[in-house]
Amino acid sequence: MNPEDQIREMNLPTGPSKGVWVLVAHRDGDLADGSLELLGEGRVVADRMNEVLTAVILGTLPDERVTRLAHFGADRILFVEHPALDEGFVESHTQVLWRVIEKQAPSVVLSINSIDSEDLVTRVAARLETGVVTCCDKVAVSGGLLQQTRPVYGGRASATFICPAARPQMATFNPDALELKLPDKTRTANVKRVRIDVELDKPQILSLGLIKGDPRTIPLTEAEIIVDGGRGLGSREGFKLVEELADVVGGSVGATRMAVDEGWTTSERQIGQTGRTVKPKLIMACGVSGALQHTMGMKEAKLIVAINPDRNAPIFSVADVTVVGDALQLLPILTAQLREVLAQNPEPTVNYVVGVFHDSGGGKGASQ
Amino acid sequence: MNIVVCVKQVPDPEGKITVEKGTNAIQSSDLRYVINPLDLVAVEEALRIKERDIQSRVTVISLGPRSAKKALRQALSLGCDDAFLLCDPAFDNGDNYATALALAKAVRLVPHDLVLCGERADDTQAGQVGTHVAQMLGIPLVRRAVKVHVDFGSKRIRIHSKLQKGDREQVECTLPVLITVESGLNNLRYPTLRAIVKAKRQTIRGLDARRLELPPRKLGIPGSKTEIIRLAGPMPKMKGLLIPDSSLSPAERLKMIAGGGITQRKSNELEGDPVKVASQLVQLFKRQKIIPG
Repeated sequence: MNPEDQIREMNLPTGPSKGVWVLVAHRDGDLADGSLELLGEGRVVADRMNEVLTAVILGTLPDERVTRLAHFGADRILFVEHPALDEGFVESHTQVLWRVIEKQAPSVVLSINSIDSEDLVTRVAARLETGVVTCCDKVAVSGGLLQQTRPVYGGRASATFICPAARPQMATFNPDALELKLPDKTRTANVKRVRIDVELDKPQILSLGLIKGDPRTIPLTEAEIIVDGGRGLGSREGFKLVEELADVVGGSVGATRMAVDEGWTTSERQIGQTGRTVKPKLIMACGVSGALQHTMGMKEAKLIVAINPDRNAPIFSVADVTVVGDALQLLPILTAQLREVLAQNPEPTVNYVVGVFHDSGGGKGASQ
Repeated sequence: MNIVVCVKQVPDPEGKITVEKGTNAIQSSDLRYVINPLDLVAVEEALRIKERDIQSRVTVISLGPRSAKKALRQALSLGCDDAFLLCDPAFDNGDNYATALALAKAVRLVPHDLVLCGERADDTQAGQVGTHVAQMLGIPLVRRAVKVHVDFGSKRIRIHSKLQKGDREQVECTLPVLITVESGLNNLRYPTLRAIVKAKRQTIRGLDARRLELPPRKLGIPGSKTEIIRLAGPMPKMKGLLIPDSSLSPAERLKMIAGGGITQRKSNELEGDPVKVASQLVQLFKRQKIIPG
């Protein structure tokens, strides 16, 4: 091992930090959603700082993915290897990433703000005794420093942070705030592998495995897909169409107060002022007129599809896609079509992670 | 068992926040302050554990101005045994790191088998103090707890930790541990009138930088790793750009993209044959990566 590759002791004075790192989350050889967008953001930061952009991968990736990382802006691709990475404990990942950052002293480390990545990055920042700003919507570079902007006070204000002295400057990004930039297919990157040959502390947190959430019973606030039913469905039988669609797409059932009062479903399914406030990736409002008391609980959803026969229904003012028509007629057809499509692609859900922990497929991440 | 709960007083999450012009501060004159909602969940969980083991003691710690006594008083009225207020101008405007340093020092002063924190504060929403405190105390950290079970005999604790899409990871470890709690862990209790009266007579012990043996350079702004350079109103809502449906005319598609869905939703209307509409929706879900394909 050459001296440069040796691990620096903590508390030794470090040289000037250099380089912008983007942590790339992956699973089963696939990049996490938002990784390429994040690389684009990292590219902008690196250019403004006149630094090299490194995509950092805990574990390994197939070659074609590596090429894509280069196309989307990476100058250098760093694979970090350690046997403990396969075991999937966040404490081990923390130690590996901490050591590699200590050793290579990047100036900036960026990551996606998924549950796993955020947990990992904040633990590493705590170890490094540096600052991290989580869930940023925007970063800029000024005077050589990263300026990180994130919502505060529940989105009622926003704050811009700097990390003036401690290094690296770390930030995790709200994936929704990132845009995909155009790839440059002529770009290439240097690939480097670093093996951390250090015995890690034994993880103190023992994982007993993963309990998969059943969309039918999970709290509505945690659902990614919600099929929302209202008065327009007409009856308990009509409401069943909503439940069937939800089952097919792995979604959860939501309801208006009317539907709950009618006894078509239970009260913990209720969305709105007297129910839950939800922010799923998709909500399909079926036969929902769109009373304010209801829409205030769902209008922050990323994609809103509304089905209503009345062209002037208020629900259409919050919807991204409006379907003028009868939900009772459309739902069985949509359910059948989706069932057919999903039968060809049997694995509808993937959780991405930095490294390999929290593998919801019940694989090695959920090891005993 | 000795439980320590860290609580923060935050502006009422339901209240209005205005940034004072030309400053990096929020308009504080007419703000109502409350215990951070997730910290209340942590207090509740501590009290529930205490109910199962009568010898347990719950200590509640807060860092803040003198007015944060109100939050500690509330925690005492709910059933906490002791309260400490870390109060010193030297602590002012510290970031997660500097705040955690003072909290960790204070936690060290009392016996602690279990330290509970809210997963994040409603004001900063950073969710990092717990992580720093655990690191500084050198104890394991479990985040996002939605179920906690302590085995008093073996001093082991079992936790369900929240992941995405309703998934839970089940973990186990030996005490001491720091746990950050999420909503849904428990249902809150209300204090009785008697308890409120009693809490008024209980002592809240104050700790300043000197008592914590922390030099000012490690506290407040000098001790912080990050610094707020600008506080502003809310950012414009970022909406994911929809790829307009190919059945729209180019002009309409351009209008949709230009509208950006950034401040206002521009809806895409589908009508007609249900079979066609359904297949358009299926295509949309594919493009939005809601379903594979």
